[in-house]
Amino acid sequence: MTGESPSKGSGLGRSLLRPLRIVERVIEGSGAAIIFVTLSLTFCALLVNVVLRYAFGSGLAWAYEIHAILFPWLVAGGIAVASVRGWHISVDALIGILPETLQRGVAMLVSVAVLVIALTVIRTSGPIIRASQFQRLSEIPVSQYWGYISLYYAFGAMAAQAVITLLRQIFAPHYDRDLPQQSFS
Amino acid sequence: DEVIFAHGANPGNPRYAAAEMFADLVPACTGGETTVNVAASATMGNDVEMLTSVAGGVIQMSANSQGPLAQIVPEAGMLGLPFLFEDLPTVWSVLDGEVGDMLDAKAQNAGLKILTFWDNGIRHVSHTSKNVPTPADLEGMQIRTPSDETTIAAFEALGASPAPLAWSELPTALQSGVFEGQENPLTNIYSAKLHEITPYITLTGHKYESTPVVASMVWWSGLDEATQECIEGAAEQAGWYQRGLSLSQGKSLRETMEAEGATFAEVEDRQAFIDATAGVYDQYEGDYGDLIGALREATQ
Amino acid sequence: MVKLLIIVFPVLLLVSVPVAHAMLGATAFALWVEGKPMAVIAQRLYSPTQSFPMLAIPFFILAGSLMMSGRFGEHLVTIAKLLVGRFKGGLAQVSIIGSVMFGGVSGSAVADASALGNALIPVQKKEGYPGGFAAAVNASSSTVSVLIPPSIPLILYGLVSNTSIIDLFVAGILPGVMLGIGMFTAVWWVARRLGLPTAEVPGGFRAYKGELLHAIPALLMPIFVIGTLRFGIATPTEVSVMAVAYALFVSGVIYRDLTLKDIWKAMIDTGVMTGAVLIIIMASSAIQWILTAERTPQTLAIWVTETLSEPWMVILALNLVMIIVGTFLDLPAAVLLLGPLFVTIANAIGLDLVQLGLMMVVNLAVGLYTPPVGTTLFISAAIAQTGIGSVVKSLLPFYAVSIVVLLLISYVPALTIY
Ligand code: NA
Ligand code: NA
Repeated sequence: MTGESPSKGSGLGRSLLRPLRIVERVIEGSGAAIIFVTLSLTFCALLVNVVLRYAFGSGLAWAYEIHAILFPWLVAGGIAVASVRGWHISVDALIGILPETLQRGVAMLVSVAVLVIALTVIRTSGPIIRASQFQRLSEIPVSQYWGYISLYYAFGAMAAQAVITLLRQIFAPHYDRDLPQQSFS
Repeated sequence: DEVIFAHGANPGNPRYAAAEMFADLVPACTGGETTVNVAASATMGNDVEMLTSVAGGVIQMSANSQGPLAQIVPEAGMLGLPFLFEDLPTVWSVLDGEVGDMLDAKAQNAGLKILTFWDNGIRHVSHTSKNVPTPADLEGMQIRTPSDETTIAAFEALGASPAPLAWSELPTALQSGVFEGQENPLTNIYSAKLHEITPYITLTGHKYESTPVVASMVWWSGLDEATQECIEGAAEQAGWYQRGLSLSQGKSLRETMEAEGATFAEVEDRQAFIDATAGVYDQYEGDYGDLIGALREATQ
Repeated sequence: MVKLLIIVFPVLLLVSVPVAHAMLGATAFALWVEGKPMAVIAQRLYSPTQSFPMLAIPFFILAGSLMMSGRFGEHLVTIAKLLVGRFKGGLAQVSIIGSVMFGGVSGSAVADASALGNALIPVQKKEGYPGGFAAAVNASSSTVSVLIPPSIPLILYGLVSNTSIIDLFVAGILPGVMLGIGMFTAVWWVARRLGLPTAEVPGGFRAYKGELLHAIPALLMPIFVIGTLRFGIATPTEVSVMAVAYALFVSGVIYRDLTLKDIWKAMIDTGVMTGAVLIIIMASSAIQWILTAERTPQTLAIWVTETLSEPWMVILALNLVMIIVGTFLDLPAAVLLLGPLFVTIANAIGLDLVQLGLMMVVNLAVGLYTPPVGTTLFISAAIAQTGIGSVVKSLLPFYAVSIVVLLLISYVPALTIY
């Protein structure tokens, strides 16, 4: 879990920090639970299938298909937790050379941009998600809709985190969770 | 207006050639008002994704596949019942008739207008070490199938051990001996060079596959009647060209692959295969009895 | 639409909008301005999550972190010391050999940089190594991990270029070993000039039979991965799942140092990394839709091949573009952004796609230890508690080694195509 430095900032900022942190915990906790469940299930299904196929020459048709729903959710859970932990890869180099006041302004604009982009994705996905209701998997009696709605969860979590970050930037500018830079090479 | 017409075939495939022809026909009959941008080689996603895109109105048209369509209109899967069609002309008369209209009506509920059916070919079995002219030769055979109910049921009924696997993983799995063979139309076998790994090809013709040409309902219903007629006509004309190419390619591919070392065989007694897989029809009788009846009648 | 992308995307990127959001923002803006159906974004976002081969990414990440959560790291350092401790600058040599061996377990350079850096940099400083040098060795040698299979960047490249992941894995071994040998030589040269001490282990191999025995199962993992893939016993996704099972078995049953908490942490970290990587893949699939709809890769390929008449000039140009992009952009993001365009160009000049893949990964991996954005560089400097400037000065011989290897791979096809 991420560390939390002593809260600073204005009175309003201080009183906001706790509820904001609670929302973050909800996003992070739900994301972690989704990761745990989907990763374990996918692992078991694939392992069982490999064993069956090599030992007995016949796999389970459903086990071969289940990742179609589970993988989007694994990714969505990961995206949600990554948002809270500030793990999304970005290019910070040029921002670093700006004076501090300007940096703060740019950072707030970035939060707004992330929020607008996430909401745009959610708002425009309607036709595809409606179309996906008719797309059934062949072995499991489930429609692709249940996979597609993971996009709502992932981008909803990103939008929520963008709002939290923005509120902190406005009301508690010195809040710093001291997150390490991450890379995934 | 520009129409995006997406499909998954590469140059050399009849579907590719027909799509190019369609793109030439449409501007001709709309007086240049509608042009077609063909997105080939799955650049707009695989068949399933293209269908979702068409249904959602993101792209206007796609020459798609029967399996993905069956995920939306399960009735379309019944066209793939084992040993249903004797030859291609029978298929054409069925699909251009009432059965085709019925599938179109069902598809419209899911946002898809089926304009016409092109061919995808008839599926045959290829094996690493022997031909399989009788049902007994399939006994216990580890065979890879797509994740498709009727195909799996058919091979189970024939005594084989079918297991689904992704198309992309098929060459590796065949090379490693996880599977003794697979089944596909000759075009696919040749384009993926599967005849080099499984050189024994038996013309089982166990399953027919169509290439439904679908349009987005959102877009289609907004077109005036003249444009609709033009596009439907162009799809049908290109379809006859595609069916012809498909038919002649089936013959020439056999010779090409034989020259490259493949051994072909015909089935000895088709009726034996039909009898062995009769039980598969019973499985679907409950849900799609009327359609199966209609199909049987049309193919007798 | 492409023109709008070319303007909006870099602007968003440079003001530090996350890479994926910058891609999505640019795509959405271009579609909106042109009046195209914006629902395409959702469809393209979803598409990569339907890819079965893509599943290999979380499972290889998980296998690596399960393996590293226990005592395997200590054993690895002991073995490396036994092998190369007798040379001058022995501890730095251990860092390089360790990276080559660790590379067989992990698919990520960053995991390598933090695991081996924490184990070796503080000891080196105590022995009188300059901090900048210790950090430089760690920052550069850890990138060998993405060449020795398994490798996340090579999987990604295989997926965007439709190249066999198995061929890429096999082709990665030689360049990985070449980089290892080159860096070994560079350390040897620096160590002699600075008079750095050896790191001999009293008693030699005999005294460490236990450690050797214990490390064997983990060290066998790369052989297991390559063997099963090479002989076509299983597909990359299946192998990644079996690697997780193997890591669970080795750490849980043989080492007995795997707690439930370790497993939970490894799983959540895996999910987060998967999410952070996949969202870029998903967003780049949306941006690719626009590029494809306007046939941009083909147009670009024609322009490049007509402007630069000779293939060797095209290859040089590709490398220069990658060096520049790699200094700013993280490796996976750069592979995804450039891969589809470069593949079309490579096809136009007859460059083998496996060779292009290795060229891309070797080249972009240099970006991991160049400023302004270099993750293994930052991690190593932080562990060594030294400034970026002094690390970069010590990195010069390692840049030279990497450039030589890169040029060899770019112009000698026999090194990557068998
Ligand atoms: Na590796
Ligand atoms: Na860099």
